[in-house]
Amino acid sequence: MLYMRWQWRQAVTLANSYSLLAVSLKHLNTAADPVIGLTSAFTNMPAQFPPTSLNLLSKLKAGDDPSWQVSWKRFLELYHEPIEVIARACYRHHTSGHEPSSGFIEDAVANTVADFFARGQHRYDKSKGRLRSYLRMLTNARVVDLLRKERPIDQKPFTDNEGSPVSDLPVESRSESDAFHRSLLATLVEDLRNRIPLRQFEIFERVKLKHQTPQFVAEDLGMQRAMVDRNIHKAMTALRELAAHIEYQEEFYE
Amino acid sequence: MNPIDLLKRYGITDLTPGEETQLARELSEAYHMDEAAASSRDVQRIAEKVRARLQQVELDTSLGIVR
Repeated sequence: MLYMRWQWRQAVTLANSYSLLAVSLKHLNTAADPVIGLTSAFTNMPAQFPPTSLNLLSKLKAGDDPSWQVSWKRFLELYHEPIEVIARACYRHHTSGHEPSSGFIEDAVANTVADFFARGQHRYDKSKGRLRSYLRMLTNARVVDLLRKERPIDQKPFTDNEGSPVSDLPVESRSESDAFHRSLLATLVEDLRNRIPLRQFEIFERVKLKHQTPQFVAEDLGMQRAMVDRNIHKAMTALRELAAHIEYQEEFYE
Repeated sequence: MNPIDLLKRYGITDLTPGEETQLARELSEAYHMDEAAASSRDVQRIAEKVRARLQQVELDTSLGIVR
């Protein structure tokens, strides 16, 4: 078991070294280094390990950038809660306070996520605003679409001379803001998992997220308590550095 | 307080015991929400709908249909 862990650690170290090497080679390449032929050969090699420099939120916001690698399934797992809360609020807003059925909310969330990943010309543009605002706008538009099809009781008429319901958004509620914060924190934890050594994340996860005592984790992993504390401190410092990224700073505030 | 504010201060200024607890709670809640979503039947059902819609978009695009 210990040998397998050692092997895994070696693989992670090798992956990190590869990423660093790739970055260094890219710099050499752009600086028109005399060994450019050699560096081109290296940089054109297929990547064997996923890069760790970009965080998940950056990838989501990257739009047409080639780093658009986040799967819609993962996005759904991370953001279904705020989208659901927004969809409910929009439904109530457009129907004078009626409650939507669970089927309606499922359809609204599914349409929003599908639209988020399928849109071409109207894809999210970070220069025009926050991801958070874009998701609100997109969810509201999909709720309005579904309402137009279903026409529930007391629905406000959606005619052109009534103004555009698509731009008529309800005020962001506390529950929506809380749900969005939870999704962003989960995204941050996902980024941390990809950023720090596996063993360090495991210790952080067990103590900080699963609330196991540091002493128990130390004994279970056969290490000193001080080592557990050091690993947690390093993980929390890495988390703080990730949270300082502009993407998170923009999205977290009201 | 906003969790991002607490995180920004971590290791730079001391967090009060109450702030430490709040930060740990919020991180843990987010983690468990994510864990629960991965195995949630509701989320899986929505995922099937998303898959169907994306396949439809792909089909429409291949047939040159613009919606």
